[in-house]
Amino acid sequence: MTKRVLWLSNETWTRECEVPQIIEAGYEVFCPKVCGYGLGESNLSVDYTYDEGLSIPEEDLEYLNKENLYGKVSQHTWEIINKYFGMVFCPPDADIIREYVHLYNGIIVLRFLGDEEGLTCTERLVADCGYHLLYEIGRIKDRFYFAYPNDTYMKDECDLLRGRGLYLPLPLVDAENSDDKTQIILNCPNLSIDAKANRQFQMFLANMSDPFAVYGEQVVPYQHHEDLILGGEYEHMQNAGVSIDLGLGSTLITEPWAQALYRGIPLLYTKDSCAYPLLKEDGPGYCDSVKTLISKARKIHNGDRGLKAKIVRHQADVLSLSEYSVFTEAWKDFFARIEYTAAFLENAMPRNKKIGIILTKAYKGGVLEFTKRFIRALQNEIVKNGAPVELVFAHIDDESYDLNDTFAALRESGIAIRTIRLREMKVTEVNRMLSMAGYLPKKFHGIKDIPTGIVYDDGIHMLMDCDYLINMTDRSGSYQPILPVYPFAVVTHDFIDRYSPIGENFSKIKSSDDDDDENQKKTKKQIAEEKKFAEENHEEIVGQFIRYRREIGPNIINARNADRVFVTSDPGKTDAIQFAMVSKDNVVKLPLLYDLIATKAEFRKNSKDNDKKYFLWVSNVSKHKNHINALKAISEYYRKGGTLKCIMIGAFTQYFDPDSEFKDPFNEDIMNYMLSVRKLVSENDKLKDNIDFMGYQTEELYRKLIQDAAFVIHPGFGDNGNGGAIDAACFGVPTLSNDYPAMQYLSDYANIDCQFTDFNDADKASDELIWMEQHFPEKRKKLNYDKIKEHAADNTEEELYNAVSENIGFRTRLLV
Amino acid sequence: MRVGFFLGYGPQARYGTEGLGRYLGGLIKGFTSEGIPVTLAAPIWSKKSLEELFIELDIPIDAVNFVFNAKGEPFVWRVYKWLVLKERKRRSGMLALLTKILGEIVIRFTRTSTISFGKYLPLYILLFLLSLILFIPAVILLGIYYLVSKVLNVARGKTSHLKKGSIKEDEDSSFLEVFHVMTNVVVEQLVEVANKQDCCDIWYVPSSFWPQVNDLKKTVVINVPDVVTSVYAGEFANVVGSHKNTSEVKKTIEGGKYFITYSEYIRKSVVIGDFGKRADCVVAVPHVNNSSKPFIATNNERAKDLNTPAEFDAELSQKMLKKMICKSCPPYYAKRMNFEDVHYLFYASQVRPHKNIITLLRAYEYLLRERNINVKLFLTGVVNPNEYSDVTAYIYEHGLEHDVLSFSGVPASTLAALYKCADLVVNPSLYEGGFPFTLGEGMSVGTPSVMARSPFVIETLEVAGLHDATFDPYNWEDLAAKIEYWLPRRQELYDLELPFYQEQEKRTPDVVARDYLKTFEYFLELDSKRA
Repeated sequence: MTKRVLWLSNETWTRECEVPQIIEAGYEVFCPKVCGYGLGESNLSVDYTYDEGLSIPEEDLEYLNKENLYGKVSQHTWEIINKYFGMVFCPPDADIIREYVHLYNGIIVLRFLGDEEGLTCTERLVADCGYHLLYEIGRIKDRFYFAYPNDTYMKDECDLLRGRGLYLPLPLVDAENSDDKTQIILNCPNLSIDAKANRQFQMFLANMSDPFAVYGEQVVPYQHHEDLILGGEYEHMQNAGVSIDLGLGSTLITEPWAQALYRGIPLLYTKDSCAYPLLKEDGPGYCDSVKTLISKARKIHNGDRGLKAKIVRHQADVLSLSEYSVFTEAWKDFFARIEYTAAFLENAMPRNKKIGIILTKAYKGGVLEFTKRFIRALQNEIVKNGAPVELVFAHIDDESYDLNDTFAALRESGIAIRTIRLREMKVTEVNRMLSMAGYLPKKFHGIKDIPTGIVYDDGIHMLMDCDYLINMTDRSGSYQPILPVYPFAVVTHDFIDRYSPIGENFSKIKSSDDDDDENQKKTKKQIAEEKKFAEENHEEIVGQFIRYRREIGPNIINARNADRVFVTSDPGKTDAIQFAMVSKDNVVKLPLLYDLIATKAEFRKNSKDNDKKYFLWVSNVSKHKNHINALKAISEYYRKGGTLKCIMIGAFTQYFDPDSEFKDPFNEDIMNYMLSVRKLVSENDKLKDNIDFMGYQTEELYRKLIQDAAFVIHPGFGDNGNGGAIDAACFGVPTLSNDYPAMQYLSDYANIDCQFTDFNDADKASDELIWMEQHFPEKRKKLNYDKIKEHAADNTEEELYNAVSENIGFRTRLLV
Repeated sequence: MRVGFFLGYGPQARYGTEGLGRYLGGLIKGFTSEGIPVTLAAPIWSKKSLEELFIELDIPIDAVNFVFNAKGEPFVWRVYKWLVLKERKRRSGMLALLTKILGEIVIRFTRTSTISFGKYLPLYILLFLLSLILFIPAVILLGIYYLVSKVLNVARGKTSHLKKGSIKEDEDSSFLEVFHVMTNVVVEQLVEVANKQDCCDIWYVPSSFWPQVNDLKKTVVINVPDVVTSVYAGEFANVVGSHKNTSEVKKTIEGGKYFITYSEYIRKSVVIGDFGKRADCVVAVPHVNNSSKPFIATNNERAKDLNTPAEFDAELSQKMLKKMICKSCPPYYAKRMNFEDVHYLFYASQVRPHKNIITLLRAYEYLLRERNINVKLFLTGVVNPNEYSDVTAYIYEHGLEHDVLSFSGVPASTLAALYKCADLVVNPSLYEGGFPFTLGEGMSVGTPSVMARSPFVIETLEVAGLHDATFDPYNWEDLAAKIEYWLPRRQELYDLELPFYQEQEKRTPDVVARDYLKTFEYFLELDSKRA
């Protein structure tokens, strides 16, 4: 491959300094033409100059020129990038780096010139993405480099980045210096939106009697003191005789800052200034107060050449800027080092990417079946495409899982299966772990935030031989979230808690003395003791309250921490974005992966039989199955003359039967709910006489019951749709469903033409039940087996493979 | 004409972050630009906050003549700040130094002991003695601090952390009484000092909390925004001190001569109707239009030059949202929120009984769970999960804490960003002093509103033929229906409200300031005639 660099930046001054150096080293360079960012950045531009030196086909160049390479890009773009570019220069943007780590096969150079909030690069990547990005960088470290401009910018980084660190000097151009200039320039961007910058400006204004000008991009135009505001354009620094940076805690080397250095403009700075990490307190430009700063500025402004020369000399000494040739040599060295290592590793042994697929709870039913179909489909396509990927299946160690039965098919297909146990990692353990693995910065410049959570111990290497994990639900299997140190994806089936919440009685946290009546019965001593208890246990009481729905928290955290959230429907995607507030770029829609439970012959045979005695209700005991409203609607249906019986099936639904004496509660909430359903049925003769609560059915009986039903009902809400409707359609049986987005999606996706109604409106729903009783034969005729089959699991394996591989990256070059 | 502002607010007032500050700032700017000399009389504890406000609004400090009640803050207030608000710079510095020295000793001890114990034995003894010398006074100081704070906690009825900051503070708390007396004394002092100076011809009092202003010697114009506690007495009954404050408001109005209101409704029904004031002595001056635009309007032309996919205004707003901290939700939910592509309804308001937030919550829950309208609801009032309030209880009892998020105390620029990114502004308030700011704040950045038919909205929006954009505030189903109808027709609603907003927009700070000056001139003339 021709030596080419994809240079990901639109900053004019760095481009003018760096790109010629890269070309000098023998590379062709592509610069992005769509500036995907830019707000608040000075001196950005789009430059086509370097396209002339590029030897890639015109149509590909044209395509790249139209792409926003800073966002999530198309598969075609990745093909072009991987085909033509052996090296990329990335800004320290976690999202961009993550994409390149997943999908790029060349050398990644992370160019770090400081951080707006004064963080180390390690902290920045962790804050914006998480420790798992470092884990992933560690896996491709042979082709990853951390390019830092000065030791100061490297010394506090984590071991991983330090180990991959290569010195690449501060961007520099061969410029004139400004000996005869005297203008005082205050570097103060964004006065309208940055309160701190505004305060500094006001303070400076109040104390500075000499004329000065304000340099810096004003994103929102500053309406006051317009005569002083210069803006952030390059040329405004040309008259600067002294540059002042009061500092906003940033360490980012920006253009005016660098210009001051390479043009020989003396820089006056404070401890908060971005110059401080480099020039330190012993520099003659350092000022410990605004008063000192103003005094020095005035001296220089009034012609103190001695002070000016002293500051400039110190700047040049610290940065070794005395000779331009030193700078160009450093760039050459940089590329020589990279090329040497690349040549050394050219014949290194590649290895497969290992992806762990995990089940964190002993799921039965839908999740288990989906997992099996998911693995089967992925494995089939991996083999078909010859992808260098190895799947590992890890499930929770549970006696209900039988390796020879539950997972027999997976074993036969050659997938390695492991059992895992949950292990909770405390802060101290995670701290040690991150430190030993080389992911902790040597020194924190921001707040030290160590995550805690669950890891999955397979008794071998805690699944760390895997490059990536896919958790088949968003549950970690515990009340703790998954420790976000591994890169992982979660499959989110629904966010049912959003639509069917378990409310908390808030008054529980009111303090005991709010209840005066109760207090009157207590002695003063008792009240005092209770108050003392409340005071001492305040944190815990509040903590319990906050964690009351203990499973929701970890699920949301898992979705937020996940590298990708896989969903199986459009409404699921919307909920992941709206409810869990996950970035839409991280949410990936997969096919529904449903299996057909009947053959075409069975479909045909059953479709002809219209002599039906009942409709079937496929349910369970969860509230979101909407039993109360549905029963009211069914009662109305019988009152209006409905003649079909109703059969309810599903795990534990037999306990809804008013004659059931089952009292051993799963938990109090469910039992109370069950009792309220029983009461409703027992008080209504029509319901009592017509509904059969049959509970869980074996597969054979389930098929039989569906086959013989006139239609199926699904009054539930808020979930990801009911697969029972697809099962029924496979036998030519239509469904009457509650109207909500996920069921609408499922009906369209699987071509099963559900009839929709509002089960919360008993009158409307009962009318619809009557209609279904009268018209189900016509509805059956609309069902088409071939259409249902169109999106079945067997026919969407490729779609699944593409969705997963385009996000996780199945062809990333990994070495043994 | 020389104008004086009289501000008697307590030490808790923060002008910079509240609408009140922006309102005052706008008037001061308007008056000074017209060449009117302005005096500002305030308690000394407001000095810092006012200076911050002046900086934020870019008003030169020397443009105004300040009159304070005294040079230093009252002793009681200083003690309170030291003990309760913990404004003790010296203490934290001392403790930090002590910790640093002790830490250094321990580290050095550990290092040297691993090399050679015997060699450094005299040094260890010396270090040990030194640490004892430093440690013992620290323990004694901490002990004293603990005892004093215990005594003070009992004195102000703070017996449980659960009640910290709660509205259900002990009614008879001696602490609150002390606070009340302190504020009154300071306002009286301020009136005395102001009377001694010939600094203005007319005093404008922007609130009616201080009956003492009627002792001011010049013409006094009192602003009556509303008497909301009187109308919603039942709802405010559980707010400590509300009856005392209301009584002060009533006394102030009763003793006053000249009044300004924000709406005709308050003028007629409250000042003239309830207090029997002369109609010619009460003038309604409508609000300034609060535009959000100046806070987030960027140079979008530059985005075009760079082929940037998103417009800069939207990008800036998203950046601002990212920095917000949500304290209303469980802590885990507040981390790593991604606001991009999140759709939400927005209501910027404090949590007060008459703001009718429960109705909004009811409608929202119905839309989310029964109508499958997939949006969030963002608020700006204080919703603290550690403290009981009806709004907080509703949110948590109904499992809405992940969808109803409140961002309190946000700066004006972030507030503008919240308006910009919202799908729809909803204002369910039953009662306001004037036409709600929310419509202009939203429309100025392209977000239309649906509004409750409160008296002031009826007075304006309804008259302007915008009935379809309003709802019955006592009927959550009507509110839900309006949101459901307008959400997918956002642009249509914007277009509908635009002509009305364009009229509102004309009420710039300069125009409003001139209206005030005209009103002041009128009152001065009236006063001289009456005299």
